[in-house]
Amino acid sequence: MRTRLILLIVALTVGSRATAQVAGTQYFMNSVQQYSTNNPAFIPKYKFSLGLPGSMIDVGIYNSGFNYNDLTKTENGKRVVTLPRFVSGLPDKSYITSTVQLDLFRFGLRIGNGSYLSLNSSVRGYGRGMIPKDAVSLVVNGNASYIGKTASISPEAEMMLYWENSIGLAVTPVENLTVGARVKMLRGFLNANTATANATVSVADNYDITVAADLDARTSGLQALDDKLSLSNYSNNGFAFDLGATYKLLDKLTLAASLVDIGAIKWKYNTYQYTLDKTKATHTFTGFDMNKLVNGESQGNATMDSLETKFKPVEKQGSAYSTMLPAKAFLSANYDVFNNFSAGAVVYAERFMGRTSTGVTLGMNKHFGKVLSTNLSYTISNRSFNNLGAGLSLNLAPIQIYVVGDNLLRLPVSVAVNKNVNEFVNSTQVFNLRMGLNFVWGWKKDGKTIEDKSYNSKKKGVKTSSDADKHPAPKAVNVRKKKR
Amino acid sequence: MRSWLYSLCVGFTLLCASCIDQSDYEIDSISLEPTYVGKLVTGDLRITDLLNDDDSIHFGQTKEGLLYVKYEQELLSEDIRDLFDLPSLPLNRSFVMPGATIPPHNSDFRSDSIMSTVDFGLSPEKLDEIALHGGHITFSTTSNPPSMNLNYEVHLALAGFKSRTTGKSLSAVMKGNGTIDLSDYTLTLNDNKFDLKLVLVFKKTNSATIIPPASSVNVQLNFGQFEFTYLKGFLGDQVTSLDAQSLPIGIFDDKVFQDADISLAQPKVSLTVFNENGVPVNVNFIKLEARKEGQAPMPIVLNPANPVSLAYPTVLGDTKSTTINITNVNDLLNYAPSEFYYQADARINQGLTSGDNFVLDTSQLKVRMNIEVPLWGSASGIVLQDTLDVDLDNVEGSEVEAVELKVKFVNEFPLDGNVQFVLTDANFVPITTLLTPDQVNIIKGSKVNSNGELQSAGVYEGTIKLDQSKIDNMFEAKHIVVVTALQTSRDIGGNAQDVKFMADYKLSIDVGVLATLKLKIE
Repeated sequence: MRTRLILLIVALTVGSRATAQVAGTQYFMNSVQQYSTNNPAFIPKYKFSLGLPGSMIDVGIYNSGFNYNDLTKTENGKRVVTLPRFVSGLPDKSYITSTVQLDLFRFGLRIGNGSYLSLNSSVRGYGRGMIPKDAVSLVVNGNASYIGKTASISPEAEMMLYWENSIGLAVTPVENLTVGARVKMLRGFLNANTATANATVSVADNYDITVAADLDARTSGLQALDDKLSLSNYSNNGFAFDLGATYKLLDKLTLAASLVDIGAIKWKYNTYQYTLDKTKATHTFTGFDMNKLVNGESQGNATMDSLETKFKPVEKQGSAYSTMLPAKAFLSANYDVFNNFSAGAVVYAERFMGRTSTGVTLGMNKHFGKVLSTNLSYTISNRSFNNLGAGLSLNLAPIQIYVVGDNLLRLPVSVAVNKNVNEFVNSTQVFNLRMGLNFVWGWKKDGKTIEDKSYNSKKKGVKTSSDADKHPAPKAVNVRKKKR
Repeated sequence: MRSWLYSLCVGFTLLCASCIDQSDYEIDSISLEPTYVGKLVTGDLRITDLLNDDDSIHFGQTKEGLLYVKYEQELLSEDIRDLFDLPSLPLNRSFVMPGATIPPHNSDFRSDSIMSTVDFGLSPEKLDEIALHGGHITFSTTSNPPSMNLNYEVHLALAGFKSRTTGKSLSAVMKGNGTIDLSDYTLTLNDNKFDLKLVLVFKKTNSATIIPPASSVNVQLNFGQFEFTYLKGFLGDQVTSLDAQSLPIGIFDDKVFQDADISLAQPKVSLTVFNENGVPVNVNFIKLEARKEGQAPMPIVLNPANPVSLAYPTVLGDTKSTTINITNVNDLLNYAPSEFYYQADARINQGLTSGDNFVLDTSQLKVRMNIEVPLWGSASGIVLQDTLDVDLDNVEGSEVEAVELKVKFVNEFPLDGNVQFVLTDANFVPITTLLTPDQVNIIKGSKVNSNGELQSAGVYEGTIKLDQSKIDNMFEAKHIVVVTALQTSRDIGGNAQDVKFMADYKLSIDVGVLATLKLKIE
């Protein structure tokens, strides 16, 4: 009972702020090389992996505010949009985030018994828009509920598209401890960044309405989209790193922690700045001026002209500026339930543009021989609690095909139950899908070969976990069973 | 490999798409019920803000800031000057010569002369002096018999005609036909008369001139087309009718004050007559009254009493003014006239037989009406009414669920008022009134002290809710008639008291609206 209560408290606490844009299911999918993405200390199952250009596509869409079912409902067989209900369920800020990653090259090689070298080249994109609840509420419910209050209506938007080249290394300096680091050289292509965006609507008790705004937005490369693409133009260099560690606390329990995408890009190319002076961008609607009304003077045009003057952003070529990458932190525990089957939990957080979002995924990993690896997960993320994820890798060495997503499992369930995907689509706030093809060699069978021996065993003669990355090979290897 | 991946992606997408029931995404309706608030009108209104350019010139303020209405209009009359018209004077004079033969002579010599007095024939005027700026003498000299070989000329001398340019008397040589311009001359007269002298001169000749018996030289003179600058002398005892005149009074618009009961504290109405005619004038107002449509005229009582003797200038070019007070001002203004009207005779030199008068050709009698009404007093029953056109055809009335006006009036004017909005159809047939009886008293008059000056502003602050039926009526209406009934602030006992309207008094208006809409988009 106490355990369930604690779990409930954790779920509600994390869930209420669980809005991170992280693929949680893949975190446990150690059969693929991309497993190390979220922790450079993780060592995948295969000794050697190779990904060619286009060999991996990763897309993710995350909506922390609402899904289609929140917006609509069926009444008497008709689909109706019930906006008041929709607004009442919105959080103060709804973030809609999209992520994309396309691998150009990926290489992984296990070195010795406890080290892993990885090389990677990817194009990554990240876009995020924020819709404030107040903005929607003002339209849907009107401004009467803001009498004596101030509504914050400023949307925000950030996006970046960059090229990442990295080299990573995981080593096992001491028994049961594996540490890893990845260094990333970045080159930015496109960026839109809202450093400051405040727009408020204040409704006074006497119904005066004051609109005020403050904006400092910058872009890089957007104004040059029509120009002929030349890679040399993109002088937006950056640097980032990942750090991670795993520690086998108990025989079957491995803890892991990592920091990912700690870095920034300095945007220099084709930078523009859009600003609004908050001392000028303010206007109070006090109604028609009685005197002008009496004298028959037109006031509408003057008001519109005044608004345009005050609230038209000033565009100018900007100076260089830096933006941080969406940094992530992971903390996980994994338990080897039995041979080739483990269960774990990961709590993660993402920090970007002053916003920290979190999520939690509970996952299970099961290898069916070396041919098929599967994952099941449950993720709380983006205020969404209905994310049943799945991962599947078909390991037909030297070819490995895989697909993994945090909300994949409900898709076939929806089809099976409803004969369509509507229930899935309508209730989805989190959807990510990573799929690809790797060339792989050298599957590590637990305790079977010298290379595959259970080098993370805490005690001699104890059977190892199937999760090799959490059990990097120590220098002194205990072999439970030798295959000759 | 990439194509494989793309194919997989596309295939996955198509698979999902094929499993989508589109009906879920066909929205049948969108419903919302927002409530919006906003400010409709704000600002301060002073009396001067309400005046258009035409009316504002009729308002002034004392140094204490008390507003007053002033009307001032000059009505001009040239009727006295028009009494005088200088007649043409045709004259025939002849030099009669006995038969004779005049030997040759080598110099001119005077043969004969005629002295005569010419009379303008004016009555009862007895003019002493006339300055002309127009007029001439046409002349014609002939000899009889015409065949007479007489070389002659006639010298004209008018001692009373002096050139203003040279200061010399008029003298001219006449023979045959000609014209002498008189526009530079000033005539000196004696009881309308002046002296004329003609001299017949025989011109030098080398041969003898035979003059038959009963011969003559005839002179025709015609003084005419006189235009005088001034006349001096005694202008006689004469009467002329002044043109009837009226002075419109806009402030007492009959619709506003039709049923008004007004008591003004210190109104002033006077007539000032400016007399440029140098002659005693008595003006007799045959009619002098205030008029108002639909009501009998109200006579205006003067002080000094009618007829009024006007001051007059004794120096040419001067103007003298005479102020005539109106003694029944209060009655007049309480009557709230739309115009003042007068019709009068002007009599000059009444009962006189002599005098030194003058009149210029520009002399006028200017009657200036001065109305100065300080906005100080009490009034009730003032009704303001205005009609606004309404066109809500393009607005779906059923979308408006409720309307609530949030009103705040801070009124420094000592005026209480009820406001009502009457909705009418296209033919101005009332549909309904917008406000309930307990909602109409929204203009609260300020409280004043014993001097009638502001003590504390009247404040109305409240909400006016319009129910659904009223809102529906608004969408049917074609016109809104705004009717405001006003009265000056009462004292504690509810009695009328004199209140002042100062220039800095204002009505602060703050009107917001709260509207709940019920929108359903299908």
